[in-house]
Formats: sequence, C-alpha cells, structure tokens
Amino acid sequence: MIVKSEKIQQQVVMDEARIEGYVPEPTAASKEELARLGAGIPVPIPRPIPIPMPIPFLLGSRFMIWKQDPTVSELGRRLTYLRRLVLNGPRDARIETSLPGTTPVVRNVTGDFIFGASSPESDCAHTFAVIRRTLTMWEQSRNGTAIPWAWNTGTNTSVITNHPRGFNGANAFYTRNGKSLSFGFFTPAGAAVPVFTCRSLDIVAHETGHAILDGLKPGWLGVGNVPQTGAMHEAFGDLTAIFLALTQFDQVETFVALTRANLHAKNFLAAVAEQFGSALGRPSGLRNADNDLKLSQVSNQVHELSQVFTGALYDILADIYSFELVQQAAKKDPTQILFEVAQKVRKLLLDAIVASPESGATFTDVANQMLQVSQGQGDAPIYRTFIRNRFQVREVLVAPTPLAATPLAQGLIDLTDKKYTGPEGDITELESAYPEHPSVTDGVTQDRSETCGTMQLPEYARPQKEIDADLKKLQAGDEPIPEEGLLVQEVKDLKKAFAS
Amino acid sequence: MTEETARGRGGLQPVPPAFPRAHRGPEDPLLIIVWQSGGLAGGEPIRIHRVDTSELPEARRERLERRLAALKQALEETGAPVGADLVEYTIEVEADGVRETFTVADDMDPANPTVQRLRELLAELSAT
Repeated sequence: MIVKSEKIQQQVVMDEARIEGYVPEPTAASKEELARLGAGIPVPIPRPIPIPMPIPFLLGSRFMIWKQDPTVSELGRRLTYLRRLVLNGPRDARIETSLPGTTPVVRNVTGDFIFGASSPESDCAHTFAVIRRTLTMWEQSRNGTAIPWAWNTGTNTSVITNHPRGFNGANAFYTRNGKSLSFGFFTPAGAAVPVFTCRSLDIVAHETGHAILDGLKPGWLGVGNVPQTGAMHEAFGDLTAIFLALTQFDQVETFVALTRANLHAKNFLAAVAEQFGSALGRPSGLRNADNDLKLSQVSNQVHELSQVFTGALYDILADIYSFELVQQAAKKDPTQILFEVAQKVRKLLLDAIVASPESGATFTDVANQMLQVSQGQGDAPIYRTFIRNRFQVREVLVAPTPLAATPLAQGLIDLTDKKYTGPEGDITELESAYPEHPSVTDGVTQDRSETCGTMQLPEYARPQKEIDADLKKLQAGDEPIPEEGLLVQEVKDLKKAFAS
Repeated sequence: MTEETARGRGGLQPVPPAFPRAHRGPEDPLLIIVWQSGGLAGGEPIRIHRVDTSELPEARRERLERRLAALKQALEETGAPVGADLVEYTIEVEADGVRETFTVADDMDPANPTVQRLRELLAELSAT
C-alpha cells in the first residue's frame, strides 16, 4: 500500500511540474504596474470556475409488453421504454405491484424488466408498464399535470396496487376501497391454457381508465348517478384502451397499413379485449367501438349503454382523421396524422369530462362540453359539425334538422371546407334527444312509491354523503412508500400538485 | 329480474331494517333470490340462487336468516365497496307479501365485513 501511495505522490509532483511550465507568470513590468494600481487593495482570492457537467442521464427502464394481447399476432410482444425511475417491484411513486411469491420483481443490471412471456414476472412487468403508460397518457393530455387517484390529497400520495394475477375468475376490476386494480385468470371451457386478463393491453388500460376517471370525478361512482354516468365510466375505459394503442407509433403504423387508413375497416383497434371476448364467444372482441348502436337500441346495463358513447367518439375520431388526411396528406404521413388526431380528440374528451357536472353526468352533458371546449380552443368549425352529427345519429343530442336531409348524412360533405357547419350553424349547446330514456331518468328520484312490491324505506338508502365520508377516510391515511428516499422529489411534487 | 334491481353500480340499494325479524317460524317463510351481474363483460343478470326457506330444515333456515341479517347489518355499518367492473349480487327477499331488494358489490377484500358476510351468505345458499 505504501509503495502504491508513494508512486501516486510522485506522479502528482511530476504532473504539477509539467503543468507549471504552461502557467503564465507576470513580467516584472506587469508586477510593478499591478503594485502601483492595486497597492493596498486586497487581491481577490481566485475561485474555481464552474465547469459545466453533463445533465445526469436518466436511464429509465425497458419492459416487454403485449401490444394488444396474445391473440393479436400482428403485434405480439415488443419492447417499450419508460423514461422514469422504476424501482424493483415494479413500482414508482404512483403504482406498486403485488403478486405473492413473485414480487418484488427485480430489474436486471441495465434497469430493465424483461422476462419470458408466460412467467409471473413478465405479467407483473407488463401490467405495471401498461398502467404507467395509461396514467402518463392522460397526464400528458393535461399538459403534464399529475392526475390524483381518488384517495390522493396534498398530504396523501398513496399508490394504487396492481394485482396482475389477482384472483381465479373471468373478470378484472378497479376498487376504490382496496385502492387497487385486480386482474383475474381463468381457463375457458375446452381450452388447455388459461387466459390471463392482465396480458391484455385493452383490459389493463380499461381498468386504469376507471381509476383515473375516479380521481378526476369521484362523484361519478356510486349511488345517485343515472345509468348514463356509469356508462360514461365504461366508455372512458374502452376509449382509454383505444387511445393508448394510438400513442404507440408501431401500433398506429400497423393499424394504418392494415386498414388502408380507414378506421371503419375491421381492425384490432376498435375491437376491445379480443382474447377475453373470444373466450366468451364474442368474435369481434368483448366490445367493438366501431358500432352503430343508438340509445333506443340498448338496455340500461352500463356496458351495453356505454357502446353508444364509445361508438360516437370512435366515429368522431374517424371523421376528424378523414378530414385531416385531406388537409395534410401532402405534408405528413397518414400514420403521423392519425397519431396527432388521436392526441387532439383525447384531450378534447378529457377537457369535456373535467368540465362536466361533478355527479349525475349524462352523455348529453359531455357531448355539449366537447362542442364548447372545441370552440373555445379554436378548432375548425367542421370538427363541431362531426361532433354534433355523431351524437345526433346516436340519439344523444337533438337534431333540429332531420338527419336524413343533411349533406353529412348523405355523404355529400366537402372535406376541404373547414368552416362547414351544416344547416344548423355552429351550435354548441343542444338538448338531449331522448330525455325520457331510462338511462337518464332511472335512479334520479328516490321516490319509489311507484315501484310495486318494494319496501318504502328511504332512510335505508345510503346517502351519497356517507359514500363521500368513506372517501374522506381513505384520503386521511397516507401510507409510507418503501424506498421513498429515491422518490422523495417526485412525492414532494405530487403533494404539491394534489394540494392545488 | 325486477326493474328496481337493475340499477346502480356497486352502490347500495335501499336496505330495509333488521330483516328478517328475529324468531321467524316455519309459518313465516322467506323467498330468497340472488342475481349476479356486473363484471368487465357486463351482460344480463343471472339468477344464481332461489331458496324458499319453508322447504328447509329448521336449523338450516335459521342459519340462513342469521347470515342474511348479518349481511344487512354489515351493509348498514360499513357499506358496500365502491369500484368499477365489480361483480354485483342483487338479493331479493320476499316475506309477508313484501319484497325488499339490495345490491352488494364484491371487491374480494376479505378485510371488508360486508364482503365477508356476503361470502358467508352465498356459501350458505350454495349448501342449501
């Protein structure tokens, strides 16, 4: 050791000697001049000049995810990259993963979570990555503002827990009380291998969509809401899955190529949860966004009802894409145009939802808000023509002019005319087309006097304020985050964001 | 399924007072019908149980009535879980010519007394 130290010391002396020859020494005249000018003036102590250091490069983590689900072979399983700190778990400041016997899943030396397709580690990694991407996507639509979970406050930044193999059963759900997303697995009749719902990007995105919407609009879950509010939750979930696919260039490009840029061609994008749907005997996915359902054709069951809103939104996306293809075809690739249109429509929907009533919101409320937000942000008037028309066709908004008589319905619209508004003009507030539909009247009144055979006991109807009180209890208890030291700045920023 | 039971998403329907009343006898039978609905797939409610307590031995009838009362008490005290795509159970109980209906969502949380009581009732009904 001593020998080594001496060698180092010798090297330092030699280096200093070499450097010394290059250090300029003031001349005698210069020294005299300095003495004359600066006599008595203290010479400032030289300070080291800061040398710019490169910004620390955040490596982030790579994950292998199912781009749709195991049955959509065109896309299969590919790498995705999250440019953020992801700890073993996987977990970060918003999401943790729990699978007894498997978690925490450990990153490899390069910080990546890459595992064999059928392994429980892969399920943990895939599900975490999709939840994370979904949350990030909606936060980007709010210009990067963090979206709280329903229980988050300025002092509570508790995470949501992801249970990728949560239970044995053909379901997946979001629970506010459990602060979690739970994904089931099951073996369909006649099948040899089980279906893991967590391996479906659509299902994971859908359930995460519920949690995100509950954070933004906690009054939209629970009693006191009309069925359409519940259906909005389901539509938001399905649309979240579609929009998430459209944030990924490889998916958008594959989609454009397979459909020749026609959103109404049979495609994997509109079909939600293909593998799960197939296991239940539904060949076009669990639900299909490219549908023609109207309010008068569906029941009050929230999933069925939701397809009316989802279908309208999908049509609006297709209309705006057709319009922008005509407008921008010479300047941009169809893939890029679809990517940008999806971003725009996604933000429009989110802003409209945020502006809608805190409880009991209807399709009409959200549709009207979409019109108003669109006008407020200066979209071309033809955007609102598409929105009005699609919600009118679905019997959500009233049509002052018989629909069949409009050029839009006859397919005569000029897609080069940005200002096209149809005969109605640029209206941004329309009445409900179907105000007596049970999906907007059912459950509104607590008067159950007309309900035959039901006991008249309103005092036992748990009021919304009690559900709100439960939420307050959830918001009160912050839970410590393991390895919080690594996430301290992020947690601090979240508390600030959730307090505002 | 009746119109009034098709409402709600994991929330509570009106819950009657402590019911069934204590010390019901064989002459006061209950008709218990349970519907399962909800979940990610949606779909029409499926009737999973229909039990007429007049057809049961006394010990079993009493146990079932206790389970039912316990579930309702838990509902009143702690409420049902709130969430989305939860499987829901709508329970119709008919007695003395009056029918009451309430819905309980199941978030599979064993720590939730309502969910625990629901599981116990369903197990009892399955054994019947």
